[in-house]
Amino acid sequence: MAVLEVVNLKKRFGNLEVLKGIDFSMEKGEVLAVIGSSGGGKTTLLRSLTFLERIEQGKIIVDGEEIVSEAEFPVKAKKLKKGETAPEARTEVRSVYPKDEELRIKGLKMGLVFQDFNLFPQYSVLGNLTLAPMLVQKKTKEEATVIAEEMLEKVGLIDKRDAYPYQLSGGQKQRVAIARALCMNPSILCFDEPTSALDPELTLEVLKVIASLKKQGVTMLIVTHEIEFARDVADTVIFLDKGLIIEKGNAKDVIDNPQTDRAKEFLHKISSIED
Amino acid sequence: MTFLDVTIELLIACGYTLGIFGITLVFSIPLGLIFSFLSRSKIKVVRIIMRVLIWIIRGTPLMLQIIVVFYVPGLVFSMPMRNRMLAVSIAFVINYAAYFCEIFRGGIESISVGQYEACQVLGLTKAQTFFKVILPQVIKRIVPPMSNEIITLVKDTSLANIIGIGEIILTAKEIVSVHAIIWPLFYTAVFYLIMCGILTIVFRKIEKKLDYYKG
Ligand SMILES: Nc1ncnc2c1ncn2[C@@H]1O[C@H](COP(=O)(O)OP(=O)(O)OP(=O)(O)O)[C@@H](O)[C@H]1O
Ligand SMILES: [Mg+2]
Repeated sequence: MAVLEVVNLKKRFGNLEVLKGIDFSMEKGEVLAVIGSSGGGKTTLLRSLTFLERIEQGKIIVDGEEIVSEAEFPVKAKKLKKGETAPEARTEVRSVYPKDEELRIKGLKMGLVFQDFNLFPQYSVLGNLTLAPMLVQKKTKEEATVIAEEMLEKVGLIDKRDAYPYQLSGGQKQRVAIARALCMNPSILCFDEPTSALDPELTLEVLKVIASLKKQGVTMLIVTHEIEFARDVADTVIFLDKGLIIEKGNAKDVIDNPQTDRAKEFLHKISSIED
Repeated sequence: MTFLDVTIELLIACGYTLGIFGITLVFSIPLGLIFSFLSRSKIKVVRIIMRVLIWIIRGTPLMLQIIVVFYVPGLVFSMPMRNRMLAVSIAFVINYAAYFCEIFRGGIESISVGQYEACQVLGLTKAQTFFKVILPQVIKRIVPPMSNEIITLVKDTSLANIIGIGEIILTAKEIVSVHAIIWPLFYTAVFYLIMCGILTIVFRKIEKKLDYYKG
């Protein structure tokens, strides 16, 4: 069974159609990289999947459960002018979300690591990791601490458990953010350009952590500009362009052998910058 | 009157000063927080009403507001305000709530949306997000402007003399006129300086205490 299934996802901001019908699915343990040129809708896709944005159309199914489903709604008729006959009542398909309270809990299946970390500055590393498990999952402090320390081991930062975010480097902050997301035990961990706010030398430590999480079977969806990394670590790559998936497949195939002109152009540009 | 007599009289008057100060602090901080929520309301009418209210309160002298609260109920609604302390308290609480509201609003708006979004993906409720994550950061940021405002409040309490509340300045003025000595009026400065000095130390302690993190 697919861990994530996205069906015909559409999202607009006002008149701007940002996602124009996205379909894909992910298997357990799969690492999926989303690449594509700026403004293509990668961040919007990730924010929609983590319920920070509401989509207009499409379904989001996690672990077989339709968190966002679809239903038909009557289209509001325009006001009739005199003498006009009412047109036939039309309907349109729209996404349906559960109630806020329900969504808050169901949404926990999707974890998110932000580009700029968003750690809570007033809490220590351990405090950042145990806050949500205690408040949301009602774990005791001891239970939450055990899990938090386990996650800190995974990202190699157990010695920083009592440090405050301002005392950490960018790479360390990002690893703490990864551990914090893991503490909630999400079905899928999403990353939005996890290294783009980091200096090149700090990028590597974060990418190494992500690679090691893959070995441990964590299902991950990663928006990234690190093409080499996507090629080496991801199983699958999606190339998103102007709100549509224009290429999708085995990571090495898509990156080494793009079929569309847009993807060729993009990958060429990126590789010439990196050289 | 001896120095000791004057000191005792002024110390008694300090009771009123501290009373106004305490009442204002206790009620205007929560009211200011409510004002700041209302001024960020999703309903436009509420926002506009709040903006006008704050404009009026901050745009007119506190002394005038005290006079209005004390005399207008009697003049307009023929329900004279009998309790002077109540009138002063109402005027001070509303006035300071308006100033605190602006400080709170500035503080709340200075927290990045990323903090809210991080809370949301971690499944925190709105209340948990506000009280556990946002408010502590807001408090750290607003301590300096709040301490300014609260020190101003100590001195503003003297305005209560306009409707005859026996606080420090009024008491000193009475001594001056009854005993024909001027120095007690200057002597009041000592009382204000001591109160403000204590507050300055307290706020420095609070700032130090919140200094364990940055951001
Ligand atoms: N909140 C918003 N309101 C209006 N338009 C938005 C909003 N967020 C994004 N957009 C628009 O949606 C489009 C897609 O943006 P998005 O951030 O998803 O792109 P991206 O693929 O992540 O780009 P990048 O690689 O630069 O991060 C852009 O044209 C952007 O201006
Ligand atoms: Mg983006």
